[in-house]
Amino acid sequence: MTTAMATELTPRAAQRRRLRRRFTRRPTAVLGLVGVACFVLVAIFGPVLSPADPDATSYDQIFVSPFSAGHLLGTDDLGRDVLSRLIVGTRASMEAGVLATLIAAVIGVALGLFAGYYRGWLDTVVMRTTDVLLSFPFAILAVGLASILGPSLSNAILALAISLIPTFIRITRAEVLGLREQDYVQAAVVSGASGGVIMFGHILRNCLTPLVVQASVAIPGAIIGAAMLSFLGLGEQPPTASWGTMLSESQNYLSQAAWFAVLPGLAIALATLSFNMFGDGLREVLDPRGDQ
Amino acid sequence: MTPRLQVEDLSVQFATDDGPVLAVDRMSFTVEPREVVALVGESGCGKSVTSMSVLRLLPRPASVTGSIKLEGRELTSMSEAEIREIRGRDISMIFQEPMSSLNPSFTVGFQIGEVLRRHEGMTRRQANARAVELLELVRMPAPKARLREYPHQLSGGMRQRVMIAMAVACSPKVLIADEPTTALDVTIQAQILDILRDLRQEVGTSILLITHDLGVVADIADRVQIMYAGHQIESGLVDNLFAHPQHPYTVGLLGAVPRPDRLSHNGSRRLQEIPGLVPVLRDRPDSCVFAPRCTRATPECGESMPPLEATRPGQYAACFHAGESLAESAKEDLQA
Amino acid sequence: MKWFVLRKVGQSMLTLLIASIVVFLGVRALPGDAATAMSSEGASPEVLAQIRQSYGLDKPLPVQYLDWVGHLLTGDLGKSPQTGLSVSAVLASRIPVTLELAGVALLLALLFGIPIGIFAALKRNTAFDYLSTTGSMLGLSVPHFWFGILFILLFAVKLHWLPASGFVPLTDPVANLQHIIMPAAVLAIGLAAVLIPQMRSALIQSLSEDYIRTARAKGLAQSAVIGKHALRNSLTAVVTVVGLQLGALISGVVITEQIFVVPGIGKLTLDSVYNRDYPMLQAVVLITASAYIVVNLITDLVYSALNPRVRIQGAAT
Repeated sequence: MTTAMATELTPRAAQRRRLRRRFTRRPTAVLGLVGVACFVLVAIFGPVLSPADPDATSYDQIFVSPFSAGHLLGTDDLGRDVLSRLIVGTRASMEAGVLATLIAAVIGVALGLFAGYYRGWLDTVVMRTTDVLLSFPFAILAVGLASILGPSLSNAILALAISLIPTFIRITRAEVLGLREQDYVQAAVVSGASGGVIMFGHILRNCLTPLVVQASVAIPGAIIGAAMLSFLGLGEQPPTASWGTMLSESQNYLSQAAWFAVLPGLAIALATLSFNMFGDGLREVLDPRGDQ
Repeated sequence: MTPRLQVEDLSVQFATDDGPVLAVDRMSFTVEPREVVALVGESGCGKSVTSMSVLRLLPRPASVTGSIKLEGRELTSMSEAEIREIRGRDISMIFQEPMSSLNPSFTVGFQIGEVLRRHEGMTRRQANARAVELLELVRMPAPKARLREYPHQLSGGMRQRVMIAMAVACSPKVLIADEPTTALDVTIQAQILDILRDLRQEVGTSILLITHDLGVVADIADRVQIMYAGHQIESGLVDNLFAHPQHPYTVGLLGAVPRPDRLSHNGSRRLQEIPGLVPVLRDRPDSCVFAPRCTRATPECGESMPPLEATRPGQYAACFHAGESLAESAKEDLQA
Repeated sequence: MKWFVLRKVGQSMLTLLIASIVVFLGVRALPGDAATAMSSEGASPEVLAQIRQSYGLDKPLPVQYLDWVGHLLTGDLGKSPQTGLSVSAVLASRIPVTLELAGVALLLALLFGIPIGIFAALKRNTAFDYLSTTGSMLGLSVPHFWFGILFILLFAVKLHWLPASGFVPLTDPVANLQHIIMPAAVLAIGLAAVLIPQMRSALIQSLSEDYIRTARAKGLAQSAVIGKHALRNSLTAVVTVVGLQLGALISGVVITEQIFVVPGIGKLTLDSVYNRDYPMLQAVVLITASAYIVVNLITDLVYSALNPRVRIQGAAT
């Protein structure tokens, strides 16, 4: 305790330090952070990192076992290098997870803010719409939207984003309804601040916590969703490498090359696990009511 | 004669993330039959921890040493099953928050009846009949109709009546009341105190009252123990202690000079502001715990924690400079 | 209470009505219309027009919608243009399969999830607790379809214990169970992964409530304190979670049925998408959405019945 006394900390820095300690005290949270960082780096530098051309076929090297010379993780049914395909496929997955969540968050938060702040007919329309969107199970909605939009990765991302919007709307609106009665918001209203300033300046910054928590849940969900759509042939289209399509291709060769089905699934699982563990740690830091 | 409740050398230490915390240090006091003893102090002074350790209801693991006897029977060495027989029958408790202390999912009748079925072996029907009597005892309006209501349908005062009805269902020897009126309106407070006073007469219950409200103490208690940072710093009969406080902390609590503007709306005196914070102790103190906030502090106070010693007949204080004012204590020092 | 129920039912009906419009328009928005989908490539415009006319596709959209709803209400869901089968007959054969699958999955999830969650809460910070937390985290992160493939790989391809895919009706109970157990287990893992931490934290939450202290102060045995006072309140929270998770269960059904080739409505949905069987797709999606809306309604009502406070507050607003 004497050390804490010796180093003088501003309240803000002390708060930040406490939060960081609460995060780093959980080994799973740190592990998750490391995992997330790895996947993001691979997504960015994928093409540089991949040892071989992910799309180069080689019919005399079909289903080479993992740990063979030249093919660390073996080859697939067309003799393509699995490791390279996994590395290149990382980008599609990360893009799907982050972009879908980002689009959903921006639209959902904006609609939630307006609906909660102005109430009235706008609120009614927005809330009815979310009710209807939420009345379709996630997979049905995503599959339906993806087939309306046509099969491609960008359309799959759009479909996932639309499926994720309602939750963001609901959370934001609930927060706004609570916050707009707060004294400091009322004070801003009385002092003549415009609606935009109040919503984005005063209210939004105070409901960031639940939104960040929701985003940390949405990203791994969208990663799985994108893999599912690709798996079903409604996302990334072959021959482009993605974890979902690789898994889908593997289904036909289960008895010949089991590892071919295990590897892309493992990649999906590790990615979502990292995001989930990281998100859990984040939740613990931002909203420590849950446990303890 | 053996006292009804005797606490001797009670110490409670918690292990926390930031190291051990000594919540109570060597508390000793007794409660006689039909007596109301108040434990008084600011929040965090250890008064609730003291009361919770009597029934071993501390919210988290703690090391508890010392002795707690109910009519001579040692409670600290009892098995879990034995102490459960004591809980709710011989010693019962009411709590500060009548809102959250009742289970929202069960009816009032069920929750009162549960005690009777547990300890008196009553059937549901018998328990219901007795529950109505108990609700009458605590002056609940329309007692019969209340049985089938849920806690959220009752007002705060009515919930506290339900809590009291539950607590006195088995005519306990000791009732521990932890801030029983703090969460209530002033008028309801007075009614609840009346009920407690009557219970002492009709049921013969002793009451251990935990409070920070000196008005409540003056209203109902016979004796009072002032606590500070886990230590007993002054004790005595309420009338004596209020008239002649000896410990500088008590003097501060009561306000050195009683002034009409310090009386709150119901005529009771609230704790006075004393600059500084109650310290959190990790271990036995090697100086007076109150010294950092004390106007009478001298180098001597930094050397050891003063023991509790008789200062006036029937009144004890833990202070090297005990006395109603600084001048008086200085005079006494000179005489000594 | 009566008004509360009526209000909730009214809301659900409205949502259902709007959902039906969305489904109708959504299917119309799919690339290529039913006529091009069901006729051979390069069919002459006259042929297409004729097909459109026979399916009423030449009428204005509102008229088409009303026609559709009118037929729906009389139980006539139309015919699949591809197979010529009556949509309602196909649905009638597929729905029980999915119900069985979902039912077994739910049963498995509750059977394992609730006790594990309770035990983890009571044995907090022990090896069991960490193990169950880690397990739930894994169950949550690992996608259904991969679990399905791994199961097939292990139990069918390697061990030859269970059939890899397909479905046998309940008339042969043993074979039925052999076929249903793997997909049901895959779905159950996903459900239990949500259920366990919810049950755990709900129980820990209620164990820290003041009324638990009251119950202990009454001298109640630990079993009564936990089994009655704590569990009653934490189950309220868990029932809601189960209800909300049924939506996720329907999502899981779609892909699980696809992997295990179970002829339920999940597979039917995907098949209709692939075959552009729009009357079928329209019906399946609407049925799923209605089922989901009804489940949510029931969850709401059960929750309020279990938790008297909600009812009062709900009635007040």
